[in-house]
Amino acid sequence: MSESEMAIIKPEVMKSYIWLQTADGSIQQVEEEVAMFCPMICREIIQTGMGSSKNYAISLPQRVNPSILSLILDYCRFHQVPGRSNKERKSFDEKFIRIDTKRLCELTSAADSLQLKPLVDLTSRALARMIEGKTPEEIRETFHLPDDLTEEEKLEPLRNTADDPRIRLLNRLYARKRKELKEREKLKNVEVEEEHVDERSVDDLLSFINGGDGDSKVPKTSKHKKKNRRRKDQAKDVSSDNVSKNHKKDPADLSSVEPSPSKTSKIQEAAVDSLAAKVEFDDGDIDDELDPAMKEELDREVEDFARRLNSDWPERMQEILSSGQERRHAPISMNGNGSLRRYTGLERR
Amino acid sequence: MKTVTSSGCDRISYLPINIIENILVNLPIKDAVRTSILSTEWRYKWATLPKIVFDYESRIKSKLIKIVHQVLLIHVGYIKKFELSGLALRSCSGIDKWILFLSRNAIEELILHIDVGGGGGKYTLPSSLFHCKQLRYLELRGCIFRIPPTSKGLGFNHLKRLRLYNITFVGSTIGCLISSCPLLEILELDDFNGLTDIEVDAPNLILIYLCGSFRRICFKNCPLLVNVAIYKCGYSIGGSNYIDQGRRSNLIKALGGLARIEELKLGNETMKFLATGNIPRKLPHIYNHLRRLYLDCITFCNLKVISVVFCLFKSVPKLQRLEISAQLDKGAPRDMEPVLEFMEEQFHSGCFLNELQVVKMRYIYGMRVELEFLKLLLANAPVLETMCIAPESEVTAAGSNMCKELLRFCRASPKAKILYFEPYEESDED
Repeated sequence: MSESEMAIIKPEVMKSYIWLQTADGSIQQVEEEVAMFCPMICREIIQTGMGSSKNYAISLPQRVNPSILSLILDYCRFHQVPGRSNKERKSFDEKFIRIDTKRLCELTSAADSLQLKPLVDLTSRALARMIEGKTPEEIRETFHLPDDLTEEEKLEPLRNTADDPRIRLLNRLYARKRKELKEREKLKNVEVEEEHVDERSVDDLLSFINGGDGDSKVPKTSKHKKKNRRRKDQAKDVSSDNVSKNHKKDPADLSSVEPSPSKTSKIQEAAVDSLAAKVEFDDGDIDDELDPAMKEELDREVEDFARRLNSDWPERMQEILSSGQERRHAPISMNGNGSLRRYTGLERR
Repeated sequence: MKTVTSSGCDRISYLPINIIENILVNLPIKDAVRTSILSTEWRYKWATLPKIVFDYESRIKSKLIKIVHQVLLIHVGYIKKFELSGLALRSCSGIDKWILFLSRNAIEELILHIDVGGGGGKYTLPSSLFHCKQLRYLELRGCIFRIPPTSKGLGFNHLKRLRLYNITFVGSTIGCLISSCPLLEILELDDFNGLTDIEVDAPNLILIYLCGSFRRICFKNCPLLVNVAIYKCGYSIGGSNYIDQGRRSNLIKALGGLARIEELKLGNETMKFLATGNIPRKLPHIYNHLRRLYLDCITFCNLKVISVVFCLFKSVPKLQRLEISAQLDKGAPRDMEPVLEFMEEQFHSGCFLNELQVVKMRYIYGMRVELEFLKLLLANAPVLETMCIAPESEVTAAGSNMCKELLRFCRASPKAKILYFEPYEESDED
């Protein structure tokens, strides 16, 4: 309709062009039918009559920069041809969105400002495909998202309400551990940068711990560092990794047990706490607390371990529940030696 | 703590909210909710998700009810669509509250499949369902629908499509529900019970599909109705199955008022239902727009049913496609003479089916009546193009006889093709 209007105005021009100006001031001209494919440009032409010459170029919204504009115009140029089959259009679309995520986001934003809904839907779906089924770490990496949530905040969404005294107890354990984490944080910030890669085997580290009394922090750090690198992985990997990494089965299992609402964590609770102080990777498990299937697996692991330990935990649980806070304070207040002693005590079992 | 170095910068988190919603809407609910642990920006981006879909693909195997609770609690803002389908519900606790919550959040599309396992009774829908005034599309399955006696505050003013599967109605008429949904365009009631009367007063209705048991049906005010499908099942509650209306036949009562329909499907016991009462020679209305007629369960030996069929034939001058599935009526008299005479007479007396192009006959047994019918059709349909015959699966030896007979019939239309399909071989041609 307005194409014919245009034709009337300029009958001598075989192909009419529209002039577009992007936010940075650069002006380009584009075939009319291509530009008209964008609802926003179309409306501008009809309502204000702009775009017919260089001086009266249509100014595009700020979100459209020249390189993105050329992408959009490619899209419009292809799709405005009426004769194309659905198959052709689909395969063009698939190739079209194979660009890096940064450009994809810019493209979505620009298409949205030009109200080009088919392109917005196409790019949104492409972005959704990049998010679907990925772990949080992978997504953060793809889109360069900062990992700035605290452990607490990661725990919150969809956490099942604590309707169970064991869970409430566990939550108290968590809160305690978070406090410890923060304390560790302040101490560790220096050490983190230094020990970047530690290829020492676990055996070495453990013998170092057992042999040397002083400087117990260093091996802890490196072990911790190793674990931390895996921290953000799926909890499954973490638990199984630890089992395989640590030749000493007991401490590893205890650690993997720690986050689950378990009876065993209450049993070995004192030892667990001290271990937790050293090996604070388990928050990685909590990351995926969202996933019910995950939780079930952890539960199963816990029960396995309980059976293995073969201790009469119900009485112990009562004991622990009744004794409450006092026992838990013990390992914290102890110095490095004290916690070490606890650790070796466990080994002997 | 890992030192996070972002070499690129974060482009996605600061896109406008409508784009973020567009992205999240394309994710399964699990992935959408997981984005809350990506970063501080993303914490509650999913909470404004306008569509919440828990379907089979979302793969939630346990604690479904808890998860739905949590999602609904954290959600903010209006919810355009809520779907719960394809997942086994162990109990219905909480569904009441969900519906109440959704009614306060301007829900437009609600899909609930409440197939509760474990032998408990069906779930009764709460009255807060009727508070969902913004509903455009409602689909419910496997529950008890309690229709309030008065139509006060009943209707859905924006409802366009209503689909109810496997529903037990309490409150025997559905008429006031339908009439209080003025914009209703599509009505599908599949496998329902508990209704006696169906009165359809829907000025915007385009398609209706009914498969269930009822006693009476009439179409009052359906000027736009184009597709009608009635598959009546036996009405088991009290009294005889088919109410003999005295003089007037059900045919006129049921099918009157359908002036503009283009497609009519009648099946199950509908034909028998229509055949009760006095069957007129001709219907008072002519269905000038009816192009496609699908008749199921036609018992050829039954004179009354055949009379109804011919009554219909005479009222559909523009019919192009006719599909008939035959059924053996075990209790019917073996004497086919009345039917044969009737059919001959009918075809001689008037001309109808002048625009018939395609005929499909299924499940025929090769009885004389059936073949006579086909013969008469072939002789009287001047523009017939295709006739597909697919016999009943037990017909084997008689099959070739049937073919021979069919070939012998003379055809009024020079273009007529006869396609014979072996049982189970039938493909959907044209």
